[in-house]
Amino acid sequence: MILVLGYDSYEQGTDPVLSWLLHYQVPFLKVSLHDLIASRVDYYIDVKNRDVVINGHSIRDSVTTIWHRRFMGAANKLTLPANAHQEQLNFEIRTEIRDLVDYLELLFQDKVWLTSFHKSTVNKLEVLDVASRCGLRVPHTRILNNHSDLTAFYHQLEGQLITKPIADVRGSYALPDATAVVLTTSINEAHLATLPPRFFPSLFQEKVEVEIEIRVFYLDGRFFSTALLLDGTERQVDKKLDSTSARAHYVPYQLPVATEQQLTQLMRTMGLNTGSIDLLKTPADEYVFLEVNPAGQYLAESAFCHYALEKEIAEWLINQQPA
Amino acid sequence: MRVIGTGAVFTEEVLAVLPIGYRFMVRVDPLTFRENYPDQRLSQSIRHQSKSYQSVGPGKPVSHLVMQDYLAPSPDEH
Repeated sequence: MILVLGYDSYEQGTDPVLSWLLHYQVPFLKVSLHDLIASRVDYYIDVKNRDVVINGHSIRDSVTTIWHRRFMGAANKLTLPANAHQEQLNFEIRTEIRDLVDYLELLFQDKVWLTSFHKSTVNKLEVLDVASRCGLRVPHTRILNNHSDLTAFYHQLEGQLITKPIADVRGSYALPDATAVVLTTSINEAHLATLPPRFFPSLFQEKVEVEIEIRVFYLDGRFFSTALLLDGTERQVDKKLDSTSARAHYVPYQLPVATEQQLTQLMRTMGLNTGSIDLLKTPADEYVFLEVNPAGQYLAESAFCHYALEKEIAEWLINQQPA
Repeated sequence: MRVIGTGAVFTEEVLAVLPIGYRFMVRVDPLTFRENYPDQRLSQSIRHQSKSYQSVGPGKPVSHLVMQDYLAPSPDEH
């Protein structure tokens, strides 16, 4: 049986795969974090016998494959009823959940996982380091906390500089008349003039000259690559601003074999068997690695390029089942 | 996304303890911010056990799969 650990509610990268599991009539069990903590399902975890029993049924042996996608996201949004000690209580309850989930991962460590808990997020800086060691070109990157070093880096890169978050956690902020987001931003002289002498450590990176942006969905050694082509020469520094433009066209793309080999080495080194990888192709035909998101969204590329990635994921999960 | 402005949404006191990117935030028309799913209905699946479906995924068929073939009938059809 396949165990799906996901959101309680709709999640665009999860539910289409479940549609295919239903279509193939493959038994699966979907469990959300709320199922574990909201007292709506009877279950127990038997530490002595290393078993999990849900509604009276042991799943220790029946589960063979686990698909984990954004399961812990709900923990970040968990808030307890308002009280005088809410902050401390939130911390303690999230820690309780974390240890509970960590133990479940330990209990099921002999199963086939599509993204284990501790690989659901990766450190962007570590990935850049590993990618470089795998032979991929990566942008020159620094974490800086002062104006002087930033100015020197800006001039070293001849003004071709961007800043973006270190971690992949930035959301959106609802304002009365707008939604505000932190995106990748080009740094220019005017920006430099507004910055204080010292600031919170921030990621600054070489702004790579782009011919084509490429999003790769990687699944256990297979590559499904999509190129974002734009009409005209105008291009935003963050592709999110171009992605829904009428000028944007998405087409399947074949990466060079050498690049795929380097990316495979990267994914194996990072212990990832799936992920969404962002690359840039320069006018000089170089491929520059930017980042990998182990639980990235893939449905748009799947639809635009007719990759049917939701079907591919479902079939991968099914193929891990014993005959 | 339709950009309607740029700039910080936080006070200088808050910005002083935030990374630089928060000073150059992008303000987007909420109706064009796709992550808000402003114009999509996600699906009505009962069998997925999902509680708050709001839109469908792909806008064009990418397979021979027909959603009505595997969706549970709506309560009205019982």
